[in-house]
Amino acid sequence: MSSKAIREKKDDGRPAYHWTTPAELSPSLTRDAEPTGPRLFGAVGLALVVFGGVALLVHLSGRTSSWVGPTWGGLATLAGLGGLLLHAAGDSDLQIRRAYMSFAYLVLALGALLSVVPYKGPAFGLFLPYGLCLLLVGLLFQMAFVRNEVEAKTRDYALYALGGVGALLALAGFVGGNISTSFLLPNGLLMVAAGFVFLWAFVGLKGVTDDTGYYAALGVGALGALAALLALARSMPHILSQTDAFARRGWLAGSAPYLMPNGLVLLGGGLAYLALALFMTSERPFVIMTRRQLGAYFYSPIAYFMLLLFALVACLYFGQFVGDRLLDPMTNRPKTGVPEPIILSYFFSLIPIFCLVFVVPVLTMNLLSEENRSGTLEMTLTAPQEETTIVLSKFAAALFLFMMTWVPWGLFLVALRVGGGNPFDYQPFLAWLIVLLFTGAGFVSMGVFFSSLTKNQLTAAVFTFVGMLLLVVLFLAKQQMTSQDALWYKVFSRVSFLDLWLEALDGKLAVSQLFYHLSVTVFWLFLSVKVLESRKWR
Amino acid sequence: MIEVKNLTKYFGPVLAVDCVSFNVARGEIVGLLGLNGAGKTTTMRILTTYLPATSGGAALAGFDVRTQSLDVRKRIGYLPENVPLYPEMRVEEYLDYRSKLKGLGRKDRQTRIDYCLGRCRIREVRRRLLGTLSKGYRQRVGLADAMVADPAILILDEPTAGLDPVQIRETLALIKELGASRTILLSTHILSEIEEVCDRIMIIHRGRLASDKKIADLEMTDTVFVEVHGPNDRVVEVLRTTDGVDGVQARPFGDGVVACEVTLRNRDDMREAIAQRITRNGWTIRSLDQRRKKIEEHFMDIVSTGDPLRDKAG
Repeated sequence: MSSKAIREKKDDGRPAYHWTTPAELSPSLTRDAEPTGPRLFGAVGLALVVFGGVALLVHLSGRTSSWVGPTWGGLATLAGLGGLLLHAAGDSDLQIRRAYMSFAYLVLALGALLSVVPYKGPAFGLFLPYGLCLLLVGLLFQMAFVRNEVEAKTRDYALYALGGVGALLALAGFVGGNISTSFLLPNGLLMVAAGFVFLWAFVGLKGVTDDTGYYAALGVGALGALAALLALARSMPHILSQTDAFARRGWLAGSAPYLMPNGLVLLGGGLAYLALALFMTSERPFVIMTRRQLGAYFYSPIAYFMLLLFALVACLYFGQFVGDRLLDPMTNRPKTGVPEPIILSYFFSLIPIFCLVFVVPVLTMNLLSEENRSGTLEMTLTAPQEETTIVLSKFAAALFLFMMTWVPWGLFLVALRVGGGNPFDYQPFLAWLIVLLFTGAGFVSMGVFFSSLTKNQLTAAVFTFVGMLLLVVLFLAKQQMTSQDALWYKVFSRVSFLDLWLEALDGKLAVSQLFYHLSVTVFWLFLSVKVLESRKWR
Repeated sequence: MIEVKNLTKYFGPVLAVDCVSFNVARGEIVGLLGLNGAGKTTTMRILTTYLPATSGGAALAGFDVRTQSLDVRKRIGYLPENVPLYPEMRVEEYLDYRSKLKGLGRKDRQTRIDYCLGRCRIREVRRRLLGTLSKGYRQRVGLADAMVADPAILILDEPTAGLDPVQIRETLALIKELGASRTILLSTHILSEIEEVCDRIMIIHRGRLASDKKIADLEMTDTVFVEVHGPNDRVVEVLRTTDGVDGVQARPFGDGVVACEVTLRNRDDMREAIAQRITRNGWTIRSLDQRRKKIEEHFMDIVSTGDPLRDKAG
């Protein structure tokens, strides 16, 4: 007799063929690797920020510490913030990313407050340096948070905060700059620049496929176009009054000059905004791929590392440069006047040239080699895209970052002129910038070529490094030659980029030499395209 | 939709694809089978215009892969074997980037990406970094990428590699659904998958197209396996002349027994007829069995022989 507790299960006769896929439970979603590295950086960073922050506060309160001065305090805070930022970007844990989000909001709010509050002076008096620095720090942490956040709403709020700050900065910069000259320089200009970075971050992270991102980008373009047109319109009366026809009739006789510097600054800012909008909304494959490559640089620590390293080297070098050239060794006081040509001695030195030789391989080593190794090149080439577009987009992104690495060097010169009150002949600097762009294009294209040859980044880097060294050695070899009439001397003088630098830093722009570097660029890029195409001949 | 004519590809001295010709019609799902290194991936890479053929040619949707490569690429979706992805990008970002590269307009982009995220069941990982995805998810992101621009032709190199059984089922159902309006060429090692989704299979062996048959045709014929105690030649002769028999392959054992594999013309049960013919001759039967040949056996038959064409000629 069977137990009453056990009941026979009745077969309800329903077959099992109405089978539906169960909710996905399989462990195919891998857990992110424990971010040990970023957490270590975060811990060290926090310690440094506290240490440096205390040192700075002690200094600000008027007391001087005998063992940690403001310089070391500032450097420790900066390095600490770098560590924290690495942690914020690398650790997507819910608690941690939200903590950084709160920190970013706090810093942004504090930055905005300090920018507008008239503390012991006019409004916007604290924008430089406190407001601006805090806003930029807030931006970086907010960007790191947005990259890691998975909840759409929270992410959107954080993005709108960035977009809002960007829009306010841009409007304040353009409107204020149009009203008052004293506001435009330097505050207005910096607001326009900071607004540019904020809006770029907003549109970039929101994406132009999204309606909000797309229309925001169009808005940025419209603002830029308006600012540029206004700057032109305000500059035109004086320019026209200088023409014969107007001068004869006495038209617009009393109009004040506007183009230099206000008109130019606002025009440049407006055009930059317009270019940003075009760059972000363009659907051209070249622009799409350049955007991706720039994203790849900025999503990995490589761009930040390079920029920070270069800024640090520039900072140390600038300190040494000022000490050597501008201070009287006997009294340790500034010399009267600046020993010219100061630009020449600033850039034509071992450290900048070493930096140049070093930066090109780092920026270009993985451009095509990594795509080749991982197979993503096959994905791109089986989409309707040409080899030429791929090579050009890689080149453009690397060249952009190459030029960016020199920004700190230029900013120190601006600081010398504006902050230090040392006027110097700045025209060689402009000539050198143009030469840097052209020679840089040559170097970067060489790097692109070497990275197209191999699947190994390191091999590409070594080849590019050797190539860069050879170009420097060419100049040194030429210096050793006794006869200036020898054929090789002439050839080396033409080929060596350092000769071109010397001329530019001397204030002379040799256009024919620029064409030489342009053709070198075209040559390397052509070869890179052919290397990619060579899979079709083999 | 896909026309391939005398396609040949050498890598240096190595012959990877040897004079392959086939056609795939619109709405057909064709499976490409073959051992590792048989030439499947190379054939697919030629069709996607990534590699050029050494000789011969192919046309997809009426465009030549060599001279109208851009037109071909606008009409295909390709899933390569290892699904290379940019590790620093998020799933959604990647699909957005790829759909832009494939020329999808802004309005369509959002809808198509949303559709692909749902169909390939990757919506839950759309904010994850591609570098942190498992093989199964990578495979599905690759599939979403292949179909994001709604191409007329899909070329899928092992679309189910790395998926778990549930995902395989899902993916195959998706492929079958997509195949209703598109032409699909897919390669795989898993023969049961081919049976499930494909209309036709092609077996590539040592670079050559060794078999190209419709699944229905493969399943049409049966084989009788019989072991007879009798003289080899006579037994073969008797079996071959039986009605309904297409061919006989015999393998004599040492003890006077000959094992025969009798291919039939149709699926009729021939066991009794064959037994009668044998016993009428006074021979005895050790075993008799009629089986439907599966794709697997068909595949093994081909790949276990040497050069298929040479064997046939011999």
